[in-house]
Amino acid sequence: MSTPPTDPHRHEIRALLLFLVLALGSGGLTWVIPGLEDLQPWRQGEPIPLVHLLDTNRLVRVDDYGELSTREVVDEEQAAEPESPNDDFQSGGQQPGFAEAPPDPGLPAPEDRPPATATAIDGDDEHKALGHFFAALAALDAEDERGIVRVMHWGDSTIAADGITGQVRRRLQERFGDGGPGFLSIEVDPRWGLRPGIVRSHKGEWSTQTITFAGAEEDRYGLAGTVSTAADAASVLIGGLRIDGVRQPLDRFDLHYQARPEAGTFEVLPSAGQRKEVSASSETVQDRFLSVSGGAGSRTARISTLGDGPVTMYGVSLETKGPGITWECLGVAGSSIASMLKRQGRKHLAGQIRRRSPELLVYQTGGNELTYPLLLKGQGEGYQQAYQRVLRMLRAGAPEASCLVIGPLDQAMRERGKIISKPPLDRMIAVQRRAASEEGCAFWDSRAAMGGEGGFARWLEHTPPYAWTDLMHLSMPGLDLIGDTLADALLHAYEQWRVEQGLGPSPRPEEEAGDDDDSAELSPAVDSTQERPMPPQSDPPAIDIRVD
Amino acid sequence: MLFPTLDYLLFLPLSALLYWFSPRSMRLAVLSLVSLAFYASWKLDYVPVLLGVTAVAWLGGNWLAARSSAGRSVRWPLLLVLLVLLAPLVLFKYWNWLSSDFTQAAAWLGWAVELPRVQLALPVGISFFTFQALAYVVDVSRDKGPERSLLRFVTFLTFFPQLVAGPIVRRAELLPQLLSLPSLARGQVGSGLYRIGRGMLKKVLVADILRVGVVDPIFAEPSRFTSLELLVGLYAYTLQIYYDFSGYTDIALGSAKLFGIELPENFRRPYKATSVAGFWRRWHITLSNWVRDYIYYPLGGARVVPQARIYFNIMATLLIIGIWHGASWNFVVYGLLHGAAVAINRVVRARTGRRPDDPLPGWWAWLWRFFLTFHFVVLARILFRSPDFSTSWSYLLGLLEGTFVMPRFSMLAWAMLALGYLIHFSPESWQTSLEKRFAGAGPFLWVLGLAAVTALCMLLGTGEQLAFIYYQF
Repeated sequence: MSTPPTDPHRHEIRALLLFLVLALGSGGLTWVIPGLEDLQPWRQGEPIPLVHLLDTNRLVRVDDYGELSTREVVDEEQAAEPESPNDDFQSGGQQPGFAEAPPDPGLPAPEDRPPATATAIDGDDEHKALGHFFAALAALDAEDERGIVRVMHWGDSTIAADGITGQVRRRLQERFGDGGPGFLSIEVDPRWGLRPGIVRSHKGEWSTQTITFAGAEEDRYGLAGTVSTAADAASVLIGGLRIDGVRQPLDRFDLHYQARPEAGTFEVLPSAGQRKEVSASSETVQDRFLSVSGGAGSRTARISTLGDGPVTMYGVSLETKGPGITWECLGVAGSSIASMLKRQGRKHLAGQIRRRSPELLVYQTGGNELTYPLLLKGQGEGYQQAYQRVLRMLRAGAPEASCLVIGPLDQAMRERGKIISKPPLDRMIAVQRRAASEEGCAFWDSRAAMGGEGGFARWLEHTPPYAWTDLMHLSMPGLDLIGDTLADALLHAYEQWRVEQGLGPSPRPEEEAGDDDDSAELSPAVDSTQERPMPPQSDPPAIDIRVD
Repeated sequence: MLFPTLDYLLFLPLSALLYWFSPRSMRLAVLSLVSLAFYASWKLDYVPVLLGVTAVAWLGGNWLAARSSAGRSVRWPLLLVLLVLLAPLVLFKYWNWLSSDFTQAAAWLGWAVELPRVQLALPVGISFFTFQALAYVVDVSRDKGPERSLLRFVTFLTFFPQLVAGPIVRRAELLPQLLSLPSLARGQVGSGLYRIGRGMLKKVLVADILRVGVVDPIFAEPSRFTSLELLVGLYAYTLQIYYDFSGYTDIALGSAKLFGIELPENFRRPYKATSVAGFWRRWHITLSNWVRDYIYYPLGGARVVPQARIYFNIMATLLIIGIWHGASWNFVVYGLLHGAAVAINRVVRARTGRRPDDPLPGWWAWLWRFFLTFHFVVLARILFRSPDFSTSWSYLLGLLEGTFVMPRFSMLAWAMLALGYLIHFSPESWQTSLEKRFAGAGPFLWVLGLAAVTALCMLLGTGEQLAFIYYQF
């Protein structure tokens, strides 16, 4: 006996009903089974489905991108109000922000640059951390010597784009004079590294390794964590900024290279100087330096390998005659304390730093370290120890130099559609602050400058966007803003230092050459009658060839 | 009420159950009421506009039919009805643009004339239901017979799955289904759920992630970005708009299936086209067919002399497609660019003697045609997405600068960009086969499948309720 065929319509209706019952049941399970909270279709406090559609405050409008939106009407003033910076990480009870800085009625606090928040440098109350640097700046202010004040700024991808460093460099060079671009590696990965405005063009093939991806021999990655090798004939043309339509004259090119067995020969040819040919061959692997005079105003130099053997170079520093300051971008995308500790040879790095003789060392990583077990375990003591080891590595090359640690920028993640700050940031900032204090470094909280917790979301919403949608990086305007806020903090601390040292107010206050002042001189005039500053010779490298 | 929201996921089954468990005689009334409720959920003020257009089209159709059956001319009455139907569209969508340009042109000529501006929110989907009403009235004037039942006509014009962003349904495609009120066919529920799930994935996982993660930040200020970022942004927008609109269409078609109603397809892998005319045969098919049947053919199509008239007809047709999308010179130029591309394609074909449907001579011929067509469509999207000429120009200049830094988009956005194009260029038979399997799988597997879709959307999606791009049209 055959069963009668089921009516398709009835079959479908039954299937639909069964589906709906099962769907409701599976939705209900998310409230019952632990761990499925993120999948709950509705939570208490959220608008009641369908019922909220009756709310008259719910407006349909065309949003900023020309599309229809049904976002709830939000009080714009409330939305724009930055949250107060998280104070869990504060050491010694001091809050970031100029309102909490030591009282000084003579020095008005810089104003916020919305959405950035003015944030003071911390941990330098007695000026042990930054005093050396400020003294060097004061010497520039006093015009009693034509020196170059050098600042080395290491970091990860937030630094590699030269956004923060570029803006601080512009601000401080406007204020104290242009010392030149400073140290430049031979090649950077153009996907991640930027140095807008300078000349760095290549011919032939250079093979480049960084501390992030490794591959270099002998753990020698140079000052900027980047080392380049030309196996055959290749060259790089390198030069400074174009200012008022003319590329800036450079006084000195100081090449950092590697000598090794069977290495080839290279030559350096400044555009207005004498050609110098050097063999990079030696019996053992050594770091060497070659200082070449810019002669009568060289604006570029071509460094060429002659193809008679591989030549490995770390980079070249470019300086003007001064007086002035360099703020050197030594960022490598993806780098971290781990890559510094694992890959950079300590003696090698110390030698590279010693050669530059910096007045200030700045270290800023953290963005790639948020998931480190060392950070998440206990109170982050392991992370603090590792961080301090990096700081000691840097200071070994310049024990007299001032030191500044910059905490990580805010980073975010999505949770149920909301963009929230990554939770480990509070701990990381607290630990880095402690590490800085232990090593005698000052600390600047860049996340507080973003408005603290939730800063990333606010910067992402800004037009133009100050942050990237990867929820990790700031856009160029965002980096510029952080750079400006850092420059504000440094200049304010310097002015405080001057007052406390009895030097009086700065002879060239910031306002006269601020970034809004179109008439500000970008570069000091070159005075050829003065002696050019020489790098210190306290601890000479293996071989130091000078041709000037 | 947006489709990929909890609101809609509750509203749709409730409506379907109410529909199927109502007496058969009440189903049309139920369907029209839930459709009006759906439209009112956007903004109550919009409902009179929708009802007004519906009433004019129904009364106009009956009036024209009466005149026609009495042997009287319908030419001028038709024009009158069309003008009345177009009035809200012009007022809400085009008036401010026209008045602003008129005022500027007058000032340029030395006349101090200023036309008033209207401060009215654009009713959602006005272009869609207006074009549907226009087509109905024209069809009636062509002796296709009016719809006598007001209730059925209201349901025809307001059927909620297709109300706010199409497909633009013709009388022959929907009215017969409403007349017979079909039962559910075997596999229709499963197929409908499959299309709804697919649409959710397209919208929430691809379109919205690309929008939030890549497109919006770049188009907000193109001058801030390098050429490579702008190029990636353009590819991303090209994919976003397809997944957004076709995702909506999937949900619309799937929702309609739950009421036993089949709506026409609107897309056929448009970026696979090897000519711009071919692109329009694959992209927003119901709009392309509409302008073909109600603009291009009435103008004479390709059967007019001299040849110049054909090219005029092509340009006029594509111009109307451009302007249909929005009130700005960007859309005018967008339409004209596409018209020019179709015209050039026709000139080339005329010289080689090749007909549109002739097979291509080989893979190389396919490749370069595909490459040119695709990149023409991609570049023209600058005009489509940019709010004005200045932004479009800035975008184009940025593209030509030749600067590049690896864009810092999220890994998820990169993954969706790659996956989106991979799926788009995969064989269509895969999708058909998957849909059939899903439809036959039964309620348990449907729940598992849609639970997975929902979980993916909740865990990976942006979490924001972002409107479909075509709602604004």
